[in-house]
Amino acid sequence: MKGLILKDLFLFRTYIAHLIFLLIVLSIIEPSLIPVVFAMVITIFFLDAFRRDRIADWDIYLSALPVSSKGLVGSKYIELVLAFLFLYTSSICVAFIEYVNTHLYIATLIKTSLLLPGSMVLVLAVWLPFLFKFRVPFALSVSLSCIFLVAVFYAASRGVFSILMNSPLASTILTGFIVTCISISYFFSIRCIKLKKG
Amino acid sequence: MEVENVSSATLGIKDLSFTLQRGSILGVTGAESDKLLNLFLNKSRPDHGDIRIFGLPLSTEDILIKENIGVVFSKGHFHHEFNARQIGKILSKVYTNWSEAEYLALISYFMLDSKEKTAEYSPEMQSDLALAAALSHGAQLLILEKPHLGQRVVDLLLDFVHEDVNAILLLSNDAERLTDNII
Repeated sequence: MKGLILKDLFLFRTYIAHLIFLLIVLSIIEPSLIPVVFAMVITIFFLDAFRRDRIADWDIYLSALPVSSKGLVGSKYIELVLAFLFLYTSSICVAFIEYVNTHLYIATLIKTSLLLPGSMVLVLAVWLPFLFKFRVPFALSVSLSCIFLVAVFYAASRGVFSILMNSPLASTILTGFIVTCISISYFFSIRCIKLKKG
Repeated sequence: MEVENVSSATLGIKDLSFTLQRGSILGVTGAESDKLLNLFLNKSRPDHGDIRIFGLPLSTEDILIKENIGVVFSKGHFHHEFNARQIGKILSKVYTNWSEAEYLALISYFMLDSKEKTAEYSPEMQSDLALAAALSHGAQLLILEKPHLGQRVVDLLLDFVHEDVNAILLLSNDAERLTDNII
């Protein structure tokens, strides 16, 4: 499992330069866009990792390695949790910057910080079982995911989620939602891998 | 490795039987090597018959078995943006008995540049790299699919089976270069 995570981290290296560039540019232009742009880049990376595995026929080599179906699927979900934590941390940092600039209520800003990482988890939780089983076209998956993330960001900035965000249970509801998404998706991914194996 | 009356309608294999003893090389010719590999790596289950490796049933103990076998496919399946050093680091986290020293020695034996991306390697160099990876985790059984059999590779393989604890299954129409034991 560790080997598969390391493989994806090596693949992720090519994205680090993009992330740093975007971080610098967005910090100057509009820091509030950092979470949504990071969410898109990380989502694209996840989808691209599957595409690059397909190009290399990595599945064939993987069949010779001592890695179980659970190990293979588990590695992607560990990466998903790590990506979530990274994005959540970035969102909280941006929330503090906004607090300093706008003096909005800090607790609401922190609760709102869960929205985009949660949306990213939802997008990837939906895609992962399909990606394990089928050859999903990269352009289609990227465009649908990015449209969804931008829509969530736009809706949040328009106050669509204000009822949820003003609720004292917002953090609990969102955390529960994220954990449920990951659990259901993991279950389906395992099923898909087993179906693919025959 | 014991293969007993293995048949698979989907793979077009009927009543395949053979035993591969330690210290020997067995060549399998005239068959579609990718289909046989699917069977020997437990990617496809046979309709009938039994495959045992190191005395263990492949159908249930494949993870344990794969710790002790090395496989070289007919073409490289490493990501082209990786170099040999990165591939070694990845595999060191996959195999419990990985030997970095052995791997680097083999990389140098094949005169491969460990910092060069594998995209820059020729197909023969990619095959050499896959062989280096297959021999660096204490494998006792090597399965080679249509390998490129340069003199360095032949010398290494003969040395591998010389110890009488290891064996090689060669899925290649060129198998007679290494063994007379062909089915």
